Amino acid sequence: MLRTFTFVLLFWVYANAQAELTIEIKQGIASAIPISVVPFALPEGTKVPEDIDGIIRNDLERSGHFKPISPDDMLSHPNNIEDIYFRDWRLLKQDYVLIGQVEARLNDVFQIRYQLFDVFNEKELLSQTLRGTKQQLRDIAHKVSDSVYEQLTGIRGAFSTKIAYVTANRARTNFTLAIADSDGAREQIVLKSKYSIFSPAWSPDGKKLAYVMLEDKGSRVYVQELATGKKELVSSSKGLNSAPAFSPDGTKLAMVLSKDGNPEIYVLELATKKWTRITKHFGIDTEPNWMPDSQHIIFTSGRSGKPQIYRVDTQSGYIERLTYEGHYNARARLAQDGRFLVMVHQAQKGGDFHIASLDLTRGLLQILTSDTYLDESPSVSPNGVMVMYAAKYKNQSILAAVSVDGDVKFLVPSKHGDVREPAWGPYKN
Amino acid sequence: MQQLGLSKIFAVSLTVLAMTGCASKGGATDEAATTETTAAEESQTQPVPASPGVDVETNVESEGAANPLLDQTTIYFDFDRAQIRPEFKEILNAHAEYLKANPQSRIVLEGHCDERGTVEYNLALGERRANTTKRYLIVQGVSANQIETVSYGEERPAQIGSTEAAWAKNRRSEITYQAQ
Amino acid sequence: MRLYPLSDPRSFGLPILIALGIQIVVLVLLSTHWMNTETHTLKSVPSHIAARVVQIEKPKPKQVKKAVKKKPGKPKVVPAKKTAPVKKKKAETKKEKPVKKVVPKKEPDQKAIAKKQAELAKQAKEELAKAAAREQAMSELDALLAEEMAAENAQQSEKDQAAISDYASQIRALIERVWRVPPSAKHTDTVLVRLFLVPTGEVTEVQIVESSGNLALDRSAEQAVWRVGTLPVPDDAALFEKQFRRFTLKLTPENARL
Repeated sequence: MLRTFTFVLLFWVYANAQAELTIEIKQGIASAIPISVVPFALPEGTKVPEDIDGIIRNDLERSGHFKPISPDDMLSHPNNIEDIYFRDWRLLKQDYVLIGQVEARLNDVFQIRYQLFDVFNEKELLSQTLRGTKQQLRDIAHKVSDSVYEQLTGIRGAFSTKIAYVTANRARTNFTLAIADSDGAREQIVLKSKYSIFSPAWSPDGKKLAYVMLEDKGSRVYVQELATGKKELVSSSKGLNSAPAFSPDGTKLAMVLSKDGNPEIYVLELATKKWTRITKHFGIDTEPNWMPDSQHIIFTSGRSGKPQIYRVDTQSGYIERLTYEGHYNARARLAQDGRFLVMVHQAQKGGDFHIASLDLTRGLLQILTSDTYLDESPSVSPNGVMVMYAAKYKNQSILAAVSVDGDVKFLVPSKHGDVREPAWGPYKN
Repeated sequence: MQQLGLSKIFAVSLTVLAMTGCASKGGATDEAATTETTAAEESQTQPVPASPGVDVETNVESEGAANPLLDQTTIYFDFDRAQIRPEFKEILNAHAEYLKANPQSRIVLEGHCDERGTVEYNLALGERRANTTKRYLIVQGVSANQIETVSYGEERPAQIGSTEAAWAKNRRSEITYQAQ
Repeated sequence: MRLYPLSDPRSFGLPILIALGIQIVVLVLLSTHWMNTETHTLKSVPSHIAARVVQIEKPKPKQVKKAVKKKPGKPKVVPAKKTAPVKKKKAETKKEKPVKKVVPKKEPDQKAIAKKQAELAKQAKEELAKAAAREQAMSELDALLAEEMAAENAQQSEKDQAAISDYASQIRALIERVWRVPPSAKHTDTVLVRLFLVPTGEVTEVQIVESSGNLALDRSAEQAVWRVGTLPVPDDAALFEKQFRRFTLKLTPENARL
């Protein structure tokens, strides 16, 4: 009896041990998501001054993570869920469909409603209604892009951010400091000068810009309030006054001064106006950039012979070198909460200058740019996904952007002579 | 004999060049004197601060007796280097002699770089070049208070272009005599 | 008989007599019916003789062996048990007939009844002992059968394993080719997805069994499955049912940047 029972039990166990097959998948592909942003329905009789779905399509494409198809290639232009035949979109190999309607309200107010659908599961993923004046239409479009981007990639969208940059004429006799939307639209001039302007740096609240102006007597650091245009001279000591950088908590401004003999990093406490010297080395120390903890600073130093990237603890003074690969590494910026360094990199002596990213946890260096040459001044988007930089392309100085994994590249169109020194602004709030 | 002839031509041509250079710079100064106002659409625009900069330049015009080397006011550097190259020591020596003989003379040493590398690092490198030039002169006996240094990094190129030739012309230190 | 007029009480006499007669007949009939019910109770006594049922079940083992050869890969104990109750019922019905014969004999001798009961009890005990022995033999037989079946299964499962492994790699290759990993995914994230298929290999349902914590990654895994749509599965129906009608995918983007 017991024996029967035992064998029955064993059989049962045997049968269930082979229970469910599990297949392990260890890798995928990093290709752009096919999405259809269908032209939004427009109100009758009222002209909508911005191409809202066009802006969204452009945002998603520039991010590098999406591949929106042109409205001409769509089989239909639905504006309501009832008009969506998911089979059609599957035929076009689309993963997601975004539809929307624009309605005109009183007093030049517009209402935009959008819905994002998952084509495979045929269900709605996102839906929202936004309202704004005609001046806010671009902001609304960027907000939609942000929501869609975040929903589908898991990363916060940075389409509503601003960029600052400097333009110059060929002869280098006229310079402008300007800010614009991250897609280059709505440019606003902040400062005009015959003197060179460089190293623009945003305050963490996005309300101020610090920059260097190279006057005849030498370089000076200013901080300008964007809303009022009021500017304040922050440093004009003997020698260099340059490379300003706000700490993430907004309380300090790091800078390079050479008043004590050679270029060193200093920190100015904005509330007390107290200066603290951070580096003490006869080599060149410059280009400070704060880590998210507002305590460590990464900087460029020539102390080992050629420029390399170092990190200093402003409290203990402890310095460690971060880059070992390459002949020249400078102007490092952080991505992904300090995990990645993005910098100007020259692989060997005499080689081209490109933008490279260094994964500090894995020690892997990747060169991101190749179509441009003389790349410099990389600036990382606040979500750590894109790098905007200045480069030479066909003998003109232009702005270009590349994704931090090097996959997507595009050039930022410019109406001016030479564009340089981009600085990507922070999230709005 | 021949040397003298050549150096005379040199001196004259340099003077001419210097004068044209002076003229163009002077022109720029005149432009800057007028305050520019930007299109005041947004409140963020800002009038350009008319800078009463010290933009005075005079050239030492060589006379027959003076050292023709004094007409050479630019010395060049190797890429990413701030050391004085041997071929330029003669020129610097000439300027040192002049400065020692004329203690009221003041010069400004400008440091410049070519466009390769980062803007800030080049600003520091430019300063280095100006400083090594100054140090050399001091070693020759010039008094430190006769020399001022300034760095313009890659911002004021002598020659626009992205060729080796243009770059070579931009990696320099310039001696500018100040008016008394 | 003299016919009395209706007014005279003596006219009821004959009808009453007839009625009484009918009553007596009914009573007699009823008494015989009672006798019948008694035979039922008597019938319950022979059920003690369970031993006879065992005798009829003897040919069972042969049938079980045949069942084994016809259907490989299934638990073998079941068919044996199924045949048993059927046989039991047949035995019981057979029992009913001889019992009825016993009834008329019961009346005369009380002693004889007691003796018979004792005999039956003794028989019952003997048969119980035999039954125990048979069960013992049966379980030993089962054990032997189990061993035999296990050996056969092991051989079959080796073949199956090879087939499973082959189909698994094909499925893996198809999924890896279309799985679009979102940029926010870390190389340590893992999502478990359960698939439901029909024998043609077509996926009919996908479920997230265990989320990676990154919804975009979960969704990307689900979509990868739908994108492939139809997976290669074995033609062998049994193997399909067992392993591929529903199975799990464990996805980890080890080549992710983060």
